[in-house]
Amino acid sequence: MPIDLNVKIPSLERIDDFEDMAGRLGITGIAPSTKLDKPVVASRKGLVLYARADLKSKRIGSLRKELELLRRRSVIVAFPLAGVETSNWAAGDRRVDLLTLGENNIGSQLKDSKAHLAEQSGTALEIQFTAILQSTGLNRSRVLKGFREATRTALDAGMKIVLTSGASHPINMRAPMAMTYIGLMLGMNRADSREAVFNVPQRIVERNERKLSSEFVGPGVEIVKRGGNHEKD
Amino acid sequence: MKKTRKRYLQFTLHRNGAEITEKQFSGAIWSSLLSLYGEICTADSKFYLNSYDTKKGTGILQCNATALEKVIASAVMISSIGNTRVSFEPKKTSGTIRGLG
Repeated sequence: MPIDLNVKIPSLERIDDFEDMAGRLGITGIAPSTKLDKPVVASRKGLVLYARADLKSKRIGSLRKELELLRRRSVIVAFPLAGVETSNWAAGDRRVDLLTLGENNIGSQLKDSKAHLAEQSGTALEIQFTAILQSTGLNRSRVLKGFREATRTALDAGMKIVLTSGASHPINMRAPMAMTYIGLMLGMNRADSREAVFNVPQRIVERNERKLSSEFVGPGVEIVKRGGNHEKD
Repeated sequence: MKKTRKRYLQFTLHRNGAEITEKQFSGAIWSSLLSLYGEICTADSKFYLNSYDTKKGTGILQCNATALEKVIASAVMISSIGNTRVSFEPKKTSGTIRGLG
């Protein structure tokens, strides 16, 4: 079940174009950064839309508040790889799903320590490949350098990787098979690349859907059956 | 000279705009391969566009087995050809053209 966890739909009126393209490419779910009514919305065309929130605050205190507000409303919570303190905090917080590396923070580095923190908390590295598509020549070389280094660091630390399009236009989306070849280009092997496209996004979505359900109490604790108030006669 | 093994790839080129000719598409893959992997790899790839339906965007290309991943990655990296924005989708690979069905 391939899911593109980052699609930048400019407005909800244009969602049809993205749904059509996702259908043509064989993508079953997308996570647009536009506001949705519910965390999970099934579209008329059979595509599943997952609410995604990108944390924007610059300080840890305000980040915590923002996260508390958004976590219950979103299936995916992401934070851009940027400042040392904030990224370290995001990498170590189990409520943050993705540390994002994309066109807005190409120069950011994923350090070993951060990758190990992220591995322990289950936070995955998100690589938005639109940045590669939109650059040429030396600029593309710089983007590739950053992405390949981050990929290597993440893999060495055992951190999960997710490949997303970050597409703001439907034609910038890529088929899941095509995305696996981008993974190979970034230095992953076949198995890791398939994981990054097919399995990791699905596992994150399933885990968070479970957490958002009313049956979830805490990690490892779920309500499996509700009993009525039977009074003894 | 040792004979190199070939690979055939069935693909679809999704586009948003005017039709793309076989020559334009082939040229775009050559340029992308050259830009991403350099002259030696491009020369060794033995890339050739066997068939391409300009209307449907479907076709078959062939290349050296060792260069297949690089040829596909180069094609996936193409975002536009001329003024037409495109998205390349690899469908199926095979060692023979008949194997593609």
